[in-house]
Amino acid sequence: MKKLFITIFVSIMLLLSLTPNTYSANDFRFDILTHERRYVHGLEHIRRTGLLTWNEEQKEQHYNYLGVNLKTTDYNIIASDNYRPFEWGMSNLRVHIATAQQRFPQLEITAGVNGDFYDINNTGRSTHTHIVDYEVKHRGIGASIHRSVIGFTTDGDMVHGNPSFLGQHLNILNEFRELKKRIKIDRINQLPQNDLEVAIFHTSFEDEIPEDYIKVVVKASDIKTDANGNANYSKGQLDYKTTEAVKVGEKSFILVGKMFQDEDLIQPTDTLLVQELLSNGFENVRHAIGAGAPLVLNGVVQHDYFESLPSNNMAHFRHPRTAVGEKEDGTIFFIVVDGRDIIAGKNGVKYGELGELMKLHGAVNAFNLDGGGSSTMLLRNDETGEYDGLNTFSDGTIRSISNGLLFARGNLEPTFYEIPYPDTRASYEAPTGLYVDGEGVFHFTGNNENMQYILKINGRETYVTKESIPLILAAGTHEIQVRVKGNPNYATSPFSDTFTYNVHNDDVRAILDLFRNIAQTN
Amino acid sequence: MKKILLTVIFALSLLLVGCLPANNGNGDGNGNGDGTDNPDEVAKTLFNERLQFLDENNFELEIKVKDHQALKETIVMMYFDGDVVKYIDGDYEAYYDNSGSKSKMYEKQGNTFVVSESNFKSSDLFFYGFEFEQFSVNNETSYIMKSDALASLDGFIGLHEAVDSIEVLQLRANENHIDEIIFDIVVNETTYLVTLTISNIGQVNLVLPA
Repeated sequence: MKKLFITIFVSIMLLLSLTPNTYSANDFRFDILTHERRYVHGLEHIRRTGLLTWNEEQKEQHYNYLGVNLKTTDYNIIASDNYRPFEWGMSNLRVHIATAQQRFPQLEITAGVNGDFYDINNTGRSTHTHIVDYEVKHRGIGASIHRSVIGFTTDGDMVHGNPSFLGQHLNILNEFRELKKRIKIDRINQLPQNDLEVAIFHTSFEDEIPEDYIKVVVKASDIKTDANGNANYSKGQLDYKTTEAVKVGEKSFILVGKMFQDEDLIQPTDTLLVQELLSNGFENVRHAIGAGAPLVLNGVVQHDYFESLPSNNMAHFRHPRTAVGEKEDGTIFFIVVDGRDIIAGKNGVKYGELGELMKLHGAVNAFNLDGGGSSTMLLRNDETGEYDGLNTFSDGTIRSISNGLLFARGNLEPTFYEIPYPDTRASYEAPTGLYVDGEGVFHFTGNNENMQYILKINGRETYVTKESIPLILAAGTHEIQVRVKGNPNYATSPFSDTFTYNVHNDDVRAILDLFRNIAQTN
Repeated sequence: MKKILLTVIFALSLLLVGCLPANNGNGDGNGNGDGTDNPDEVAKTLFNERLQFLDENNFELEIKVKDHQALKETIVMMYFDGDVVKYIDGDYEAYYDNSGSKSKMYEKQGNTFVVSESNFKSSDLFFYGFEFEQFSVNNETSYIMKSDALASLDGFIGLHEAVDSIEVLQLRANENHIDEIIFDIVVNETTYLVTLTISNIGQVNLVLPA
């Protein structure tokens, strides 16, 4: 009996020793040569060099990691671009950051990486979905196993996969970007077939739209077309309404439907935004970009998928790479691996190696972004105010790209929430008691139940969530007003009385102080 | 012939005497009222009369600072009513109460005023201490501070280390009082033109915030 057990045991051991190795995490190893970790602006930055071993190949690698927990900090991820109205475009990530800072002045943008693959030789259009602050500028290519969309909600949740499309919809947004009404577009460049249908006409419709139909002629501020020339993002404001026969003019579009006979539905201050309505988990996504292959899903590196790709697929070659990942605790991180400089030990990675690297840093889900010369990772340098490149740009210079993802600190302004139509909400009362203290901090008395405000300084509006705000203003006279922001239950308040704040340079302040001295001793 | 000449000379002398003014007064035929006929004394008296309103300390003062380089003007207002002074800069508002041993500042913060002990330094008198002897009379309505008198302002400007000097100080007056004080002030080696305009004398009524 004992001999039998020994025989079975030896047989099992032999069997195990003869079984060929499969691709598993055990095959992956990263031997660290150098390692730096620091915290900058609350972001964790790791710079590493080391020997990456995977599948019996060992290569030196250099990479940077940037990450932060969106759930426990005031960080957000926003999508960036520098598209001009009526076209796409390419700019480097530093320009993206400057544009994003103008779009979201209340946010502090500290870092970012390049984003989706794009039409590099022509328009600069991103390959897949591109959403900025709920605006679906590009619906993307649709479902694909080779492509994903990475989206972020206001709460910091990362959504990934492929959205489904529910068709173009007209979003009527009031001056506070509250959603008055969302109306499905039933026909494009075709007349409505009944009183309930709504149609949109673009310049591609060259005929006259016949009289009698109620038409809303919209002066467009932007129209974006996809690779097939279809306008799937149109934005503008009311130009005029008519029942006369009209043709679609340049930089305009026309909405047709009986429901537009409602005089209150569209006001001159409303924004009319026609875009795809997304579904399949992307309903509440605020910012999104397209990504390439999934690298890690539910904690599993997608080696089976990589192996299924043809041998000439980019997955099997080492290049500089950018990837985005999420950890179980809500941390979002980016990794950029240097490449195309073998002499310097910057070999670049294959998909499998990148996936393992993402998993090594705790990714439960991770996705490949555009790489090669597009791979860019920037971090703000407080001493210079500039955004330093952390990775080595393999083109020798920072490349112009289509879009990117940015780490942005601060509060995202609540917008795009539905309000009743007709609007029966009562308004909040305007804030009172505006003043600036001796330290240059602006104070006011707002609304304890809804501490969300629009601060207007010299006509420029910023979203704030505090009632004491340090002001950094140039010397001169500044007109300051503030209003309580609305929500689904209460409408936005009127603006407060104007507070005039004079900022003096040091010299003038010295002169005025002399006279304030007189005030107390005459 | 000699008699004729003497008669002519006598007649001409009489004529010349007849051409002299009736007295050496101030031109209004009533003398200067203080029994003195010295022109300096007249001018000094007028000068003092024109600054006399400072005793009541009730007036409005506009402070205009012009930056020659940036071509920018800054204007703030001060209101004086005895021991109470109000300072307005845009919507910034502060009162000073000098009735006690220490000056109190009432600073507007929203809908209320916050009272504190003023932390400004005790000042020299500046225009409260102007004396006739410090000025040259430019014309009937203008006085220029003598260059050697500018040093008398050192105590005033010395309150702020950034202020280097005051240069070319001029007073302008209307019939009754000084209504403008104009001077160049050098701060951190940059010259600013300051114009103080005095108005509403005796008409300022300040009440300290409750």
